[in-house]
Amino acid sequence: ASALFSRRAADLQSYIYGTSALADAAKKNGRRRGAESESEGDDEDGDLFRLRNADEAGSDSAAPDLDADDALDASALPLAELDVSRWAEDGAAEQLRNRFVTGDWTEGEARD
Amino acid sequence: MLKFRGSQHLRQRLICATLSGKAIRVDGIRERDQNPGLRDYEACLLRLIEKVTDGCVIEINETGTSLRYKPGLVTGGSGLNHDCGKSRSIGYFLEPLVCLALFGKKPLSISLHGITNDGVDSGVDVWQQVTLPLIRQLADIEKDGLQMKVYKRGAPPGGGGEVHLSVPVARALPPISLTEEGMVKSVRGVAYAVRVAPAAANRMVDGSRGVLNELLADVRVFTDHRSGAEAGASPGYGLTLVAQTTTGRLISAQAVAPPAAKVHPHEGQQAQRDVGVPEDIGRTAAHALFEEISRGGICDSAHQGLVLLFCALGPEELNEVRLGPLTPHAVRTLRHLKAFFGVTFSVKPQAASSTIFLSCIGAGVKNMSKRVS
Repeated sequence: ASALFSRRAADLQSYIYGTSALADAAKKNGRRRGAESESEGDDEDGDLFRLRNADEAGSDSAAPDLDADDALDASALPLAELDVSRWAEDGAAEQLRNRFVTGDWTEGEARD
Repeated sequence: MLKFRGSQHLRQRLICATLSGKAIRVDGIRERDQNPGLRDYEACLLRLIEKVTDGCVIEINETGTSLRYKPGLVTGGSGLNHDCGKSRSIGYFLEPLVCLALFGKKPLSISLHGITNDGVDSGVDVWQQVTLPLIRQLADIEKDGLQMKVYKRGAPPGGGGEVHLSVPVARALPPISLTEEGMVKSVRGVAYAVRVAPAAANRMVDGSRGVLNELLADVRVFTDHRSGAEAGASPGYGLTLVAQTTTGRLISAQAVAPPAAKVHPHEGQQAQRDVGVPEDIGRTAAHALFEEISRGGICDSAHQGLVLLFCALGPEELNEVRLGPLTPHAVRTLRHLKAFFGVTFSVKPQAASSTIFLSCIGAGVKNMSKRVS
């Protein structure tokens, strides 16, 4: 999920709004969309043939595939998607020190 | 009529359709699946929406792969009852229910039966401690209006929980400006244990304290052990942690012990070992909380979609929020908000803190039945 964060505003904006939620809209400007972003796995139009496996993998598994039509409807990220294990290492918690009131307040406020 | 494909994001589609008054049609719902069509929990959600609205039309084709939904008016009402089934937890149903009921004719008061805590949706503890306070703020509601009581807990797979929810009516939403994260000043939590030894709750608290006390002394986790009729039908335990910041933001994380029956038969032994002891659940919850805090933003990943929805429904002035890396659910929410309300957010990532500022001009959605006042 952290891959969704892009440093350039234009990238992120076009990533979000490059794909329409609507089915018919997606069909209409499918060609233009395909030219803009190759990486999108949402290909219900252009390609005549496609791998069945890829569809089925995304349909019922817990892993959220953003462009799968049948992705699981859950607002929370599954625990497996969060990078939880990195906080188990020794000293990892110190990275967050300045986000807590026990840390450096000027560092913490610099974010706002 | 707006057309969509697939089962993704069905709850938000129904919310948006109802609040915007637009009919929708969803085709190709799991049409390539071995078991095609709507799932039982989705049918259950549609029944729930039928209960709280008046005049809606729901048509489903024979295989359940196509759904046509023509929204009616949200009526609300009291003394309602709904069985949420055993496929998804009550948290799955609460989100659309609360969002719709706020725009109802009468305040809603409803009893929900089913699973109160599972690993997929936000548990009732997250709802009580984070989601409801957040909605109170986003919709400008008094504290006693929006409330939820947990009478019985129910763990998967058996369920058997009971929750009572009351939602007041909102007239119009206030403008939203939430951009300051603040620093974490305290951590609160609830450790629940049903149909297992009471010690499990205390052991989870110990596990999480070991991790959290490294950064913060102000950690208070309450234990909620239930037995008998209040404990539902299945054994289970889990921990919800909530970090409170100096600006009043709430960041939550939860870890739930997986249900015993869902273990695959051929890897039973292995999985049983991976599940670990209550201390591990406590540590996992604490680590998940660290991860949520490090992602940044004014809410955790589970609430991004909700915050964005309220921004888009908000008044026709600038609504702005600051979020961490967007979840797939949040991105889908943004796309749907554009499709339904024509609201496009301006997205400005801030590199230094790797957070994203999102702002929009709201659609100014008003309560249909309160238009005169």
